[in-house]
Amino acid sequence: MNNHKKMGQLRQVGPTPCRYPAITRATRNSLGAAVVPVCAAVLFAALSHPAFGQGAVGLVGGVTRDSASGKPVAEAQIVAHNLDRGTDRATVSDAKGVFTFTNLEPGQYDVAATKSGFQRSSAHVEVAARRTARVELPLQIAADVHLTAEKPSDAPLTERERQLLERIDRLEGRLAAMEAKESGDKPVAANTAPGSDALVASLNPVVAALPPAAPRTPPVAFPTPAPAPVPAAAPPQTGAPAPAAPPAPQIPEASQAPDPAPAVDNDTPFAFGDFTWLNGSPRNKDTVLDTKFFTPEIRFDTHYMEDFNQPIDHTIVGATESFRSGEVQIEQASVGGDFHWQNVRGRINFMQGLFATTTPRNDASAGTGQWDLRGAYKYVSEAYGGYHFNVNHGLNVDAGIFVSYIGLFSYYNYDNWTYQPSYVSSNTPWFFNGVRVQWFPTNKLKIEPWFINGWQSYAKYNGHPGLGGQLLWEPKEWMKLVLNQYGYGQDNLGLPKTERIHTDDSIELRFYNNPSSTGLSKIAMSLTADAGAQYGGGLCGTCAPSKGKDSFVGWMAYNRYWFKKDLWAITLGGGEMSNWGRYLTLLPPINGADAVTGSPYFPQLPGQRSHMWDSTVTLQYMPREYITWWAEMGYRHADIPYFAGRGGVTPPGFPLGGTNGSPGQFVCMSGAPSGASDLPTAITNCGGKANVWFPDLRRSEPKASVGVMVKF
Amino acid sequence: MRNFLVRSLCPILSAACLIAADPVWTSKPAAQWTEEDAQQVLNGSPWSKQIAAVVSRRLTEDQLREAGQMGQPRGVGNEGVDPKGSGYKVSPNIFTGRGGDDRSPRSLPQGIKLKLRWESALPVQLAELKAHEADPPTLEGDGYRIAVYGIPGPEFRGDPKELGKPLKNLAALKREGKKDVKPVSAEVFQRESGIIVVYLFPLSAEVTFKDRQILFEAQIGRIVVSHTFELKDMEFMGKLEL
Repeated sequence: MNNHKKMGQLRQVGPTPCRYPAITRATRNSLGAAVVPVCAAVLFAALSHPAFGQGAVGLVGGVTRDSASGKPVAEAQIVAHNLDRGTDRATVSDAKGVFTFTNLEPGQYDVAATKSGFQRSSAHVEVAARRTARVELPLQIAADVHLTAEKPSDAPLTERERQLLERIDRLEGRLAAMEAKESGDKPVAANTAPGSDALVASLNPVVAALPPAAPRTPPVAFPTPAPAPVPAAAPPQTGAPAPAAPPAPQIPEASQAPDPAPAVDNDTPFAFGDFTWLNGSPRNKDTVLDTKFFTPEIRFDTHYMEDFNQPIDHTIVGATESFRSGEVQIEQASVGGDFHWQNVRGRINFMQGLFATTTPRNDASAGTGQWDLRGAYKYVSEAYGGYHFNVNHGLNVDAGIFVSYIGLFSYYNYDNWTYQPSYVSSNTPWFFNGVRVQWFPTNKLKIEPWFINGWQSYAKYNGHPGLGGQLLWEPKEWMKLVLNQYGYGQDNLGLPKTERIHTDDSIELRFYNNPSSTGLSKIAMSLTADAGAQYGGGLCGTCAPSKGKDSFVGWMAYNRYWFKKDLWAITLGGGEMSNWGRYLTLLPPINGADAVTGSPYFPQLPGQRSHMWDSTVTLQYMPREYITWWAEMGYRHADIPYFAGRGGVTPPGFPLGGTNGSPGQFVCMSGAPSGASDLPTAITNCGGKANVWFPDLRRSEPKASVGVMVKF
Repeated sequence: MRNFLVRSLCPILSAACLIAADPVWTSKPAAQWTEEDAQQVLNGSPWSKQIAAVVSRRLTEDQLREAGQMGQPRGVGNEGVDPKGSGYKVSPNIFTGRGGDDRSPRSLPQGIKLKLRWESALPVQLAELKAHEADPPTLEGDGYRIAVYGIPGPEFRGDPKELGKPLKNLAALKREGKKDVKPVSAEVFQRESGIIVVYLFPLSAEVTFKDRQILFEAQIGRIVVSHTFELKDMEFMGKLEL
């Protein structure tokens, strides 16, 4: 079908009225621009012209193009010279370079194109009755003629060209089939073109209302046509003015009216709704800084806290958000961001400020083996890399250190409804070190297993890694359900046979939303419940305290009200925990004690209980999406002496910057270590009970705080 | 007063007459379509509709990460869909602001005009030929071909099939009481006039007048497309043309 001819050479078409031009390298790129218009012109001329189909005439269609650029040349003069009779027919190419001659007597023709500035181009054409022939007339710019070499004519078709040709073939086939159907059992010659009035009639029943067709004379392939009502496609080559086309009717309203479309992305997980109201999620609506490969993140968190116990050493204990009293402190200054290139990803977020020392001190795993793991990780809050697989709604495999989800609240205070969360959040992990897989089977569900070193640990304490996972379900914009489970880990220093299990489950509901209101604009609540236990190695979760009970039960609930288009928000809430064995009770930093050293002043032994509750009222002012001003009043209570009192938790003398270097021992009133972690020996060593120093621990802690947080 | 009435009524009556005129695909044989007629078929007919689609809001990096992704998604329908200057303007005034209204235009859904066209419908193909549409988007294989015109964006280099791959699973033809039909392929074509996404739906999904309506839904990056076609209007030569 696609025989290749030299440029400008005629090709007689076969059974259908339009075939394709010879394709050379010069024409390939412009094939689309050339083939379709020519086919269209010829086809419609054939369909429309009243004379066509009478059995004595043929058609010629073609296109004029700039041979150098392949662009159509408009308004070229085209002359078809009948070599037998010496007669001429003339027309002009249209804006797309297309020209058509209909009603040509059969015979030999010379078709030539001329235009100012171009060399004349011509081609020899044989016109046969009831046939269509097409011709290409490449026009060379006059000055360039001598520079132009002959173009190869046998270049192969590109895939795109082949598709185009096939498409036009299919269309022609469809037209032919329609014609055959309309013609019923009338014989159709093999080489007939579907440019007859039968096809015209078949194209629309309206034709039935037109003047009756002249009698047809079988077996002639092209039945005698009736005059076509409007030869619209034929150029005015005969000199007769074409009938004026009727005014185009307006597009019916029904065809123009847009219908509403859903405004949500149902592919990207959780993109169907605005979840910036959630506790534990940043409320930013846009990313200010963004590049193709890296999206930076910057956070600043500064506050002033006033512990009404007025500790003389300015030390607040028992929280992972509150550390110093009566001072302005930078809790966190973080710079980092996300690296992303195609499906490869990585995230790093450094942390400076109090977090850099207050977070690592709660991890006892650094006491296992060598190397300074706390030093290695102290300035890193997140660092991981991984790969995103395009499976379902996404599948990620990442490895590194991650912030923990347990406890609902975010590790970053900017994301939270309150500054000081309850124990269930404050005392549970801040990071995981290991591998996580995130699988999004739907756009509303995430399933995320973890294979990690342990519970809030840089290292693995004992023989088992920690296994866990999160199931996050956000079926509606106003609801979030998150279930975190943990188990298998042996997360106690020096207790190789003790295992830990924990469940942490939260629900968040937004039950009022009127964002444009200048009054109350939103109300939402969160409820979290936790339970856990340690068992094995002499510990048990449900046994009597005297038999080594180690368990945890806790909850927290918050209710938040937004006002004046979310400019202001107030959050009321609190929680409670009961922790047998105190394994999730934060060790007060008495004499610099941390999770590795322990403290004789606050033993964490099986069967010992710490029961605590707290409540806060937090007011946030959020004029811009990147800044939060806040003020908070809080009260915390414990059944045991726990919070820093006026005397503080720092021993006298401060010989080593707040600690005597032996936090695991009792301290003598001189500030020196007693050399003992049991009280009788310490009394002896210090020279009497009155010579042993004790920290000032209280059962309650009222506190007021103000601060500002920024996140870009 | 009379002049006022005449002046008032004339445009109304003229418009009414024009609106009342039968569309070209029912009033005129295809063979007689002028180029203007063809343009009408191609731009405003039962097979070709101007629709209002939605560019869904641009997610923040936090939201993307929560969704398991990092970085703004690339590709057709994601790049170049936000108007210039629609990003967040950081104000140095940190003491006053608009609270929840302090947000960028691109963080909200935006409307966008697109054109849907049944490329496989005979009247559309005839009109394309008549209108000298040099290179209408086509896909290999038989089936219902629906093209989405007018997608903004930069020039995307690459194989149309590869560019269309991520879009294939995010489109469907829906009929009441019948199973949704997913496209067998999708391709992205780059034209001077913009980006065109073409979906090929299998012919095995038989569509009849009894279905009454057919809903086309697609998500092209952040662009969400949804439109219901009235099948009774899509009759051409006594036949349902899709």
